[in-house]
Amino acid sequence: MRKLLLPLLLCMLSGCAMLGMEDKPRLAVVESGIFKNGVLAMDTRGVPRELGSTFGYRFKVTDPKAGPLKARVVTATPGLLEPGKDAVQREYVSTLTLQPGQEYEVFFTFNEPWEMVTGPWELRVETDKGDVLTQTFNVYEAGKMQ
Amino acid sequence: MIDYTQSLERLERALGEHYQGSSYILGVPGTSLALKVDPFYYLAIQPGFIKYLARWAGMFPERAAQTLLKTGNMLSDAGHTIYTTPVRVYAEGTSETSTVGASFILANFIDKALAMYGGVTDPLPVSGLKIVAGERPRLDFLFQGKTPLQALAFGNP
Repeated sequence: MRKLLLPLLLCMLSGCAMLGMEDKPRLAVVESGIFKNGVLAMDTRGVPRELGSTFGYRFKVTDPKAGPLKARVVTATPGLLEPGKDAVQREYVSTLTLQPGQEYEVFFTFNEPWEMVTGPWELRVETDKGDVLTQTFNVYEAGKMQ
Repeated sequence: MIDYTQSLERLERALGEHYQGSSYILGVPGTSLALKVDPFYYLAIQPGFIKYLARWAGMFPERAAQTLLKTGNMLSDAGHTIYTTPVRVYAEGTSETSTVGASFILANFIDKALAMYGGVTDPLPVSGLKIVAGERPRLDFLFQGKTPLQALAFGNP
């Protein structure tokens, strides 16, 4: 019986791998840094604190067999205090449906002076299948070397 | 090279899926990002409409705007560069007007997005947002050769 069980187990495991159930990342960063008009202007993790700056990354669903993936996009800020509000905003979360082969952009643009907070900004994508893709950008005071 | 068909489908899906969870994003004066002003057009409040739609679709705002322009779902001037203009509006039943940055989106795009991905069976009704009547001539440049805004889009507070 034992002699039969081992080959069966091995067969089942290889079957899982063939079906794409092995632990392989389905998301990959294509490019990241500071973007201007939707084009990567600088490949960097350091972002000067400037109004209009857009930073983030472009990523792709690499597994063509992945099927649509539900994802949460989390922007973890160093803590923003919007004028007129009492609570500090630490996270922005939105949802997204990802399709295999397509490229997606995760980014933040400094549209308001109160958004330009120095420190680490983490832009994270979490899928309902457990994939996590993350990049942290360090926003620094323009004019000061980081 | 942008695949505008693919990008448009993503924008539709993003809008529809977000409407399902947050129906206030459309049709509520003073709150929503876009409001139907006649059976053919939604007035989109800019830059918020493009900013949020782009975020929900995982694409840069420039790409979202270009997708809507190139596919003819957002009106622009003859040079295809200007698509937002300041316009005075008010909520029906009120006397207070405000000036917003406005773009005009084909109702078909939004209603289709809601039908396909938002669980909505019928197109949304015309909202209570009105454009101040005197603003009409200033909007003409966006409607050259297009179905004009219907009379019910305008009023006086």
